[in-house]
Amino acid sequence: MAVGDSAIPAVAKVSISGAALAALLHRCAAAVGDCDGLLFGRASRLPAPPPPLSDYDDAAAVPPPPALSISVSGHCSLSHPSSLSDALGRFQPPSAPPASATVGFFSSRRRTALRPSMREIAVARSVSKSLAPHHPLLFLLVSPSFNPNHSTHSYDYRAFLLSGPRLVPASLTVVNVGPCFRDQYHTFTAESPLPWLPSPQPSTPAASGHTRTTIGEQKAVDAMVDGFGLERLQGVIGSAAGQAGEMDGMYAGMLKRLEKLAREVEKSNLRVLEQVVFPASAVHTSQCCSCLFCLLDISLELASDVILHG
Amino acid sequence: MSPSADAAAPASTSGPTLAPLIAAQLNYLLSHSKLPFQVWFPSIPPLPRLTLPLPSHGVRLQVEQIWSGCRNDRYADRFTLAIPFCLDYVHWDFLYNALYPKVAPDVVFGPDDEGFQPLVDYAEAGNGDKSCLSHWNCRDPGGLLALVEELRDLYIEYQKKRVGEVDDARLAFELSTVLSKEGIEVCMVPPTDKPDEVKFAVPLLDLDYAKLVQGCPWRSPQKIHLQVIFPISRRVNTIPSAPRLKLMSTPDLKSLFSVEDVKLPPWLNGMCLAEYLPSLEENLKVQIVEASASIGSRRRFIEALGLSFGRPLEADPIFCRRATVLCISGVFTFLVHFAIPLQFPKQQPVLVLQSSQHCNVKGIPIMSPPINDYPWSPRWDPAEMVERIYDFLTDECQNFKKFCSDAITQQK
Repeated sequence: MAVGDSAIPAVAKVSISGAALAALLHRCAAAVGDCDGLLFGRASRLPAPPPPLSDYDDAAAVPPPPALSISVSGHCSLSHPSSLSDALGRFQPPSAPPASATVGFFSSRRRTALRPSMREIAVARSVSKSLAPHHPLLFLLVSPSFNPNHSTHSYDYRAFLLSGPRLVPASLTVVNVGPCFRDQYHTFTAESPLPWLPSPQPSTPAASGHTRTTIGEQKAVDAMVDGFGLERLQGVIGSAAGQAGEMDGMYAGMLKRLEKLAREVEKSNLRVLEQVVFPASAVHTSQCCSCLFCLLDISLELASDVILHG
Repeated sequence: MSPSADAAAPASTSGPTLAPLIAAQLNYLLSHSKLPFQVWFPSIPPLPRLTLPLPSHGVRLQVEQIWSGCRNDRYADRFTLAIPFCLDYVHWDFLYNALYPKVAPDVVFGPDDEGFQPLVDYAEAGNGDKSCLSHWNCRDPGGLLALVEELRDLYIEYQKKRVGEVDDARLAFELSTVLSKEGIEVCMVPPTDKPDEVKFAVPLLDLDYAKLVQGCPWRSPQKIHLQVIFPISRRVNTIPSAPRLKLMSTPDLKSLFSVEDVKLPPWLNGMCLAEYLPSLEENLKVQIVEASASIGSRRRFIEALGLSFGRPLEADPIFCRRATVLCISGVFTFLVHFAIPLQFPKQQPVLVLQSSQHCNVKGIPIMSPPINDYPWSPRWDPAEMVERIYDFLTDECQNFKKFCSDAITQQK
């Protein structure tokens, strides 16, 4: 879904961590002129609040849209104005940005009005068209300024969300550490490379369809556990926690994988040692080259060579 | 809008100098723009190799503010232009980058023009190549002029579209009949989605004044506009009230013809603009031709001055609005300044006497108050007019001499 078409949910919460904002402002201040760049982070739809109990059916017919939370965690930028687009505001990133992590873009221009410019609106539309994120695109406008003797620097900034054809101002929350910001941690969801495994339903015949897995998913599991089938893993997740045997099996697989890795490390260490030690000891073929005395002898010889030639 | 409203530390016009490539573009814009309105502009800080034409020669754009966006504040690279639109101005910030001259400028429009998105329109129509921004060359001095003209044209179309969306039957009819007229501009007052009024700026009479006035000094085309303000009626089935009408002209034209003196024909009930304009234009044309003919009668008056007063020291040779002669009465020498009105000979010239022998404390020659209550008849021929003024001044100079002596005595 293109962002331009998606209306801003009733409660759109835009937040940025204090550290990310500080880094962004520093980038804007350090640039000799104007600069712009992409903003990374994550957008998630918060679960809808429980529906209010009502006697009237029509009230429940129109559920409010789930609240949207966009949190900015970082940025990337070239220290150059108009680095994201051409003169007509057509999005031309220096390298293909990861579409999933890009939540918007920022623009810094010194001592200017905090309104989107002609080109910034065009860039916003163009970015949302090319990246097609599932949330309204975020635009952060920064306007650094300073007094004549540079003793006071001010950073004005304003966040906008692209809603239809317009950039609508949105409030930006700066998240810091502390009990006030505990909500932020509750909205955290971990990302894992493990494939999505819906719980099996053995009662239905369609369950066999779920167990059919792709090669990619199996590879992702193999990267952590050797020889532990996806079906078995699904069984572990789906069933109650009592399946200790299966868990043991999984851990045994993990240990096996670790042992295999340890062997590989051992082998490669040996190979490295061969490359370093054996060429030097070629002159001592008659001697045993692995005993400590011989090695000591070799290193002494090398040292005397260095002294003579030096 | 100035940066001071939203950002701290506004830059004054006496700040850093404009970067050379940007100064060249701004200079070219100011000297070559043909936008139809002419204004005074404030002093611009010393710009490298930037020679600005004198205000009287027609600067049509106003540079309001110049400031720098560089960290080291060395070069100025952004400015606010007041661009004439619909007999008023729109204020746009043009943002260059002095350190990256190859980057095309960006524009921040006024706070009420959120919906004006020219680059988005280009992207949707797929005709961005038409824009001068698509082949921007920072070394081309005409780049800014092309950009301003392109954006202004698009802005006029944008405003027409907005006005077209206003829900008012009378307005819709007026637009359908008049909007095709060349050079017409419309806008909403106030510029919100629900305006109270809609303003039309209708250019009238495409006359070539250079042909009407011999030796005409105007470089730029002069225009007369009719400003029509239609109130938007909120109630249905009410008779729409008459619009407010006002004539406006470019300032140079005032030395030939004053639009303030024109009596506008009445707006009858149920009338529309397309009906009103032809009679007004006809009326105006007659008056302008009369005004140009009255130059001849003023010229003959100035020529007649030489018979009694001797050759004038100074005279306005084109519009014949001013003349100065030197008079001597005994040992008292003084100048007489004639200010000849546009309605000459219906209105008599205003005389101001200036002594050549008496100065006030500041060293400025003492002048009489304006005199226009001497005997006069528009039916006299120029020679008689001059003769009567001469007779009047013969007596009046004694009063003026006494006035000067009194002024000197009071100083002591």
